[in-house]
Amino acid sequence: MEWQDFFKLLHVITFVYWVGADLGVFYSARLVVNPKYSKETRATLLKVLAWIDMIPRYMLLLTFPVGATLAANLGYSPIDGVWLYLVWIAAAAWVYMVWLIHHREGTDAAKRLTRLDLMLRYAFILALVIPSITSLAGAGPYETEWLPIKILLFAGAVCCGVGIRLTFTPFGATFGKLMAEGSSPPIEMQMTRALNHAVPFVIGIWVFAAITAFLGMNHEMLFGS
Amino acid sequence: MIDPQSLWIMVHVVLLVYWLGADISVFYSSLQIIKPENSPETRAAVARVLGFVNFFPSVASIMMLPVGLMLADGKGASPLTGGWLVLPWAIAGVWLLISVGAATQRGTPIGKRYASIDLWIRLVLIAVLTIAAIASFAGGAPFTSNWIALKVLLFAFVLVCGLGIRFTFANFGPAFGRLMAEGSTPETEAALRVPVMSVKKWVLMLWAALVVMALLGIAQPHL
Repeated sequence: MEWQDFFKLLHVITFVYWVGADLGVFYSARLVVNPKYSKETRATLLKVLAWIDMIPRYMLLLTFPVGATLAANLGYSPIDGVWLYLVWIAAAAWVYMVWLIHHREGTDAAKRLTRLDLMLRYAFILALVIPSITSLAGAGPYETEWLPIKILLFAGAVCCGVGIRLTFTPFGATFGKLMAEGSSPPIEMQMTRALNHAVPFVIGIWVFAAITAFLGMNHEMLFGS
Repeated sequence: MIDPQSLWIMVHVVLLVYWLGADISVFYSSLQIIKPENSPETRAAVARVLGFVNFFPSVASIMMLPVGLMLADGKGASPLTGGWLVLPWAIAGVWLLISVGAATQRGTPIGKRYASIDLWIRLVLIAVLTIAAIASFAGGAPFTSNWIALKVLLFAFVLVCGLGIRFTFANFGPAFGRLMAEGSTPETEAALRVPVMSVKKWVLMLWAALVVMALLGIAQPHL
């Protein structure tokens, strides 16, 4: 057994808790928008949803440094040595920030951090996409074909996450209105609409994550490297 | 270009996703159900989330064994090859129907019948898998790789943990029914809380075994 095997295990576990936990989020969201339930029930369901939803959020951020470590150990990634440590520190800091956003919800600090988090995600997507495209064009920095393709697919999942964030933004304010004013047809409609708009992105994440996982497990067979 | 074995590995991992990954939602929602400050309506709604999510680990755990045997066959390490592989699939298919029947007909006479058949299937499997694993360690058969034999043994252990969960939870359903019918009383709250608290050790052992099994599958060590 080698260290690489433990990192592979971590890579599988982050995938397991990312996609597997999403199931609870998806179903509880359907119950939150059910107007037959009382406000208290819907608030508790939203709390359950928000708690479960943190797990995929952490996993999305953690699967990257694990993947970077695996790629570096194979000699396919230029992010190695000190740079790899920096990636781990940045990922840990980001996870802590996401934790803070969840636990300080509603405060000004959390709102500022949420905006910063969104900016960071745009930067992250660019940092994933640009070197992958230059690598596929033959200019490096990644040595093999499958790795930049995998990173592009992962960037697709990150984009879908941003898509969920943007389509779901109206939900929070509308839910606040539901708590303050009680149920009304326009409020229910706005919540259902926000949820429905997020669904394609949720399915997008699952599809990207599944293809990424398949590619990760089978790159030798598919690409010979 | 795509080797069928690689598709089975993918299915194997996706089953783990919907087993281990979904279980965490089951665990957290069970903690919300036992909170007396939540109204019965709220607790019933959370129970719906739990019931829906819990369906996935129960299906995934049943399908894991035939998929694992396909992979073991691919490694040339299993006595079940060719047409014999129909056997684990047939058993898993029937077991799945019985298990789903037990879950959907819960409380009815036929549901109880399904549940007791399901229990017997599990007991027989635990015995068969344990014997097969120990025989493989000792005599190199029926499984010719020790890491696969260890996974088989751990799977039997996972089934034991599942039974531990089932027996610990046996009184939870009736207590939840009382909560819905009569409202909250200290006795009912205790009857709900005790199983959820004492089931933790079984759940944690089950999760730990699954993680070790995943590592064995990834590393495939010479044991």
